[in-house]
Amino acid sequence: MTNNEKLVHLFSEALTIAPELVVDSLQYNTIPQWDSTAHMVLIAQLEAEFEIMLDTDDIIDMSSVAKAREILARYDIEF
Amino acid sequence: MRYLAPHFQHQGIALIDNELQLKFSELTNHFAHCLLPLQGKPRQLIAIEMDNSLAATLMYLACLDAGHVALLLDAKQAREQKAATIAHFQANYCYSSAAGLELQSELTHSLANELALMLATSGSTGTVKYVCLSLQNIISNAQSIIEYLDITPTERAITSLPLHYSYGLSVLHSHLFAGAQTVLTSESVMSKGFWALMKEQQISHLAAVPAQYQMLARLKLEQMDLPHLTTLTQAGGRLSDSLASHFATWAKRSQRRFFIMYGQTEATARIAYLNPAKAGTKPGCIGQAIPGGTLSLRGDNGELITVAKQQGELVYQGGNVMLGYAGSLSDLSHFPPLEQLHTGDLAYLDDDGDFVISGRIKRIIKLQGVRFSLDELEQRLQQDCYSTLVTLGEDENLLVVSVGDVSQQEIKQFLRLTFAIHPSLVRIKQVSELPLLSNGKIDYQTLLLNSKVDT
Repeated sequence: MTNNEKLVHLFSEALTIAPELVVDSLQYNTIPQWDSTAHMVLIAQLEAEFEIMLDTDDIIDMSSVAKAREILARYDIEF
Repeated sequence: MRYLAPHFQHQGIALIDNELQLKFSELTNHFAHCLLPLQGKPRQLIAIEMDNSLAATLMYLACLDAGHVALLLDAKQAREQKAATIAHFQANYCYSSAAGLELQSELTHSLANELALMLATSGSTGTVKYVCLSLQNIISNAQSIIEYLDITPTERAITSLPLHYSYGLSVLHSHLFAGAQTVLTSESVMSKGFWALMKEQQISHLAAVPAQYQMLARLKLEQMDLPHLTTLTQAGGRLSDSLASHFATWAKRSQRRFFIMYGQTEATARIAYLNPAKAGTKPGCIGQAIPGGTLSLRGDNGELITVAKQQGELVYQGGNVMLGYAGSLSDLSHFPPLEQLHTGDLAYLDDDGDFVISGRIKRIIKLQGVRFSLDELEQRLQQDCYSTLVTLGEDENLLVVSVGDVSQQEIKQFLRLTFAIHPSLVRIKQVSELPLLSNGKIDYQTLLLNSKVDT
């Protein structure tokens, strides 16, 4: 699996939505499935999958799929 | 007659919403404005879609002040569900911050004099059961909370919890009655906006349920720069031992106070709290009854248990014990006196004389601070998914057991969409047969023990 495929898979699992719906423009709190619980599950899974520890600011900044990719890139995850 | 105004004779600011700051002295004018459409009407039953906005908060307080009965709805609930509750109790008006006050029914209700507030008992759909509270209940509980948390007018709280929920509401009540300030927000602790408010508004008091403490741990609260934050409270189900110890240690080291508390909507909100000095050292311990209340333990035959380490049902007495439940409109006209609250929780006294929660009599679990009846969940799953499913589990951990093959995906999706239960809180297990008790009923206890051995 590529890093991008992993990312889509993790979003789809944590938010319980179809992988096709995981697009760059998808934003936190704009669909009922991406609530605070799903966000926490997502963060936990991202940290485990990519073996990183996200900073507080990055956790609360991760407000869209595009932003997630941008933040992960700073942890040397290449897309 | 003004019911709240005499209690709000404080100096200074009461509510803060973004740029807007409302003083205590301005509240009554706002109340009058909220209730203009109701002028000349007798006491009304008003359903309020409570969404942590200033408008909804003022409408709620205005209802209490004027003696109307406020029924609080979760604004995030599905529209049909809200409409069903409004129809069920034939509310006279429905209020939402988007649509304002809307007339629903001109029926003249027979409402008990003391009735002021109605709160939902659980997060499940199925039955409509509301807890009915009086203004006296609200004042009594607020005063107890002010005393044990020592809330002074310089404190500033934030609505980290929804205001339709008894714990969230108790934070608002206790700060208002103390003459302290409350910052209104609907942002969650996982959002950037929330932490910006925590800092800019110099919040001193943070209330959270176990699921939020999990988030606070992940956010590394202990590394944040929050010099004004001095008090943290926890309620809404048992906090895991590791999180309790984590936050207790941090609180002690940083000279903050961390209160582990226990309560029920049936007691307006709070029933007991643990002295912060003991936090993190006694797993499951809820300490002592709040000031003005009394806790006792009762055995199977109702006898009082006073010796340590003997389990019984936790029974509470105090001015915050509800008027009663309401399942239908006719229940609202009269409430037979209820002197004691049987909590349905099992507890024992430890060697220090503190109460320790050890189990539940009723089949109830809490997920993300929301109470669910396992029997209701089981019934809905059997009806809408598979007739062979049974449910059990512990707080933050729902276990669905099936006899025979099922689609895990389908069950998790159903729970997610119908009850907003996140799949990470659900485990599904397959067994060849269900253990039964001698009376033929399912032996949930054995089933739960077996499932723990497996994993």
